[in-house]
Amino acid sequence: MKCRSARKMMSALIDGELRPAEKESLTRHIQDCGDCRKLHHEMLAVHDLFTAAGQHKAPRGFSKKVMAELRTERKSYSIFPVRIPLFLKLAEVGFAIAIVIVGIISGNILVMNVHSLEKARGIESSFSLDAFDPAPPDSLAGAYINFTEVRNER
Amino acid sequence: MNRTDDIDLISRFNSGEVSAYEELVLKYQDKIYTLCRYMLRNVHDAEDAAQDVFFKAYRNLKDFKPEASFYTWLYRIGINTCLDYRRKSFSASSFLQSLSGGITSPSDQSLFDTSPERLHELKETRKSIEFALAKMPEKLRAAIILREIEELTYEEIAEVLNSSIGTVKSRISRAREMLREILMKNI
Repeated sequence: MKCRSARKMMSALIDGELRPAEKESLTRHIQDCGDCRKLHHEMLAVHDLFTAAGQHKAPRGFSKKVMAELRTERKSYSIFPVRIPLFLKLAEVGFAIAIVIVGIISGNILVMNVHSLEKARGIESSFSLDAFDPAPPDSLAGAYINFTEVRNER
Repeated sequence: MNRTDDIDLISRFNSGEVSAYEELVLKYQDKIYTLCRYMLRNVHDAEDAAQDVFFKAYRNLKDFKPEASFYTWLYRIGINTCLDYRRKSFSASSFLQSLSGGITSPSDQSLFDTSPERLHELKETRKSIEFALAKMPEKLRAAIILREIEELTYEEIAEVLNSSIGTVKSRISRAREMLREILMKNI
């Protein structure tokens, strides 16, 4: 084995990722070559440094903080208490908008109708013949007409 | 890292049991926090980033495919979150902290039960590693942290980094060469 190939395989040797034949060949080379032996020792020292450093521990109360934040987010995130598919949420919003639009249109129609109704009443009253009734029922002439009509019927 | 346990917790969560997610957080919080510490070097950024990892995982858990490993999926979110943090927030606090060389914080739980000599030694070791890692390109750093600190196999690292095993092997080898050069100069 040449030193160049040995260098390439050295990292995999530390990680135990070499096939048995490769491992045997590299180990033999390291025993015979001073430079590669030195390199291997230094790489192992770096590896040992990482092992010594170990893992950090998450700050105290980390999981509680995460869960509290998620609970707050869940509350403020949605007005829907259960998970509803997006298309249903959109349909609900669309339905609300449709109601508002229908309300606006029907309100306009109503206002327009009230105006025309009032207008029609005005016109009707202006053409009414009630004002020209020659003998209103509570007048003397009206009483006379009623009296004669009753007598004629007999 | 037991895969069936994770799948069980995820299915419990998906059927509405939110406390199952807290169990997942407890199980992986140290690993994700460690990843963030070595990737970001800053205590506060690391804590924020680690929390973000769990928020993102929570929001996307319903899309998680059980044929993948939960922890490799979580590590992938972790690496991407840390890369985002590095791009977005090289904050004044990061700068000040890197000047003071402070790698520990009052909330560094791993140092609480340690003797003063061991504590000093551990701090120095971590400081050297963080110093060397900070000098490395992001891709090499991510690969070597996943291998040396998180002890993932080449196959798992390839899954996390979405690369081939050959690429992972080469990155780890280059990272070790670089670390050796940096650390041997400073020792």
